[in-house]
Amino acid sequence: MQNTKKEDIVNFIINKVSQMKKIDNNSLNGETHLASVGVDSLAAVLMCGYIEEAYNIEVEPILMFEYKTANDVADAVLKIIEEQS
Amino acid sequence: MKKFENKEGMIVIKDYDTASEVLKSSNFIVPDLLDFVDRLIEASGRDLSMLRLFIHSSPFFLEGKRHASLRKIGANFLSPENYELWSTFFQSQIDSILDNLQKHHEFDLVKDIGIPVFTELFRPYLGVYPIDEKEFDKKATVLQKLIEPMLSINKLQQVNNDLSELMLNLSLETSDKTTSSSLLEQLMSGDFELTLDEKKAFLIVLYAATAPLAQTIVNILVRAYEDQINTEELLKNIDKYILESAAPVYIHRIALEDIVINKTSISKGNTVLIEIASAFKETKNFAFGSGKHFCLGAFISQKLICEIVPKFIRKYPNLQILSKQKDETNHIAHAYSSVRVKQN
Repeated sequence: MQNTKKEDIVNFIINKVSQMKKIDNNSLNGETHLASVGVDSLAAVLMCGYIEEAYNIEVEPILMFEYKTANDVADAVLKIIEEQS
Repeated sequence: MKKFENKEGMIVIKDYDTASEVLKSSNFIVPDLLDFVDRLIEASGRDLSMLRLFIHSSPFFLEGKRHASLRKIGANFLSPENYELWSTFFQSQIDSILDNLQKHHEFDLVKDIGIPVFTELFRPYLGVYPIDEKEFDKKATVLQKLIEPMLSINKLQQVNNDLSELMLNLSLETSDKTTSSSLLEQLMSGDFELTLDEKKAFLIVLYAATAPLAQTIVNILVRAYEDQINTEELLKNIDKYILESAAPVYIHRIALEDIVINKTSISKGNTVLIEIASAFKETKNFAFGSGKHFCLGAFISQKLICEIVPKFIRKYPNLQILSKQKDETNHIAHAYSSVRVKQN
């Protein structure tokens, strides 16, 4: 966990959004507005489940509505990793 | 309750004009949790079948024919006519709850008033007789949190697992301690289009729905003692005190289409949370909602509040609040986890 990099989390989020929403990975980046590519409440719940599993932390889906981009979400997840480790 | 404010896709409404327009508009529905859980099951592969059963057996999360039919069953049982059949029992139980506190110099309003509302009043009334009462209540009394928007999938899984345990823990034996038919007895003997599991789930849902009443009673008592309100003033203004002390924080709706209401732009799919205490502070009738989702328990809640609160204050006029602890984990109800009091 100590070596988790923001870039890794951003890529993780982008890959998951790409899979869930069937969007080409290359059209997404850390500054993509997630709601505009269809990240809705279902996707938010699924995403947080994936993040929880991958990083062994507890996150709430509302995180995906508090932070608009993968970069912002990754920052928040990093902070949670630090707090919960 | 800032958790849901300033979040993408969520709109918190605090003014009466916008709130009443939302509640009157057919553009807003209760969250379609059944559809959500079905899509979540399909996308995640998780077994949330018990959660699905409960949502499908709960009038709070449904619209349409199923909602109307469950609501009818609930409304018949929770009717003023049925209350009359039970009123002597309720009064006797309330007297017993209050008398039991006399021997304690200190007690806790949550543990010694709030919880007995479940166990001594609603358990026999509904016919909820768990095999392991302690375990059952540990899980059932916190089911209210299920209606919090945006629970994580792991929390939903936990709720699913807890619901399975509640179902296994529920006995279908009826009691001979009461003279009127409980909801369980009526469900088991009546001709309803519900499977046995749906009947059990419906029963547990209504038991869990006692939570706002128990919490509101504690809230009113805390207010009464802190503000030194006498019983006459309380009863004269009971609607106002219920509204101001009501446990539920929000009325939750989802927008079906884009709409602008009183200059507030709401997009299709947005979650709309009407903050009850703010939006309806100048009125007195919205603590229980409005329209087809008007609180099923409104009548019995008002009756029991008007029974319990004045009796309690008359019996214990000189109570001192020693400490109170808000339930910080509950984001959809104004509730205490503990209120320690002392008899002076």
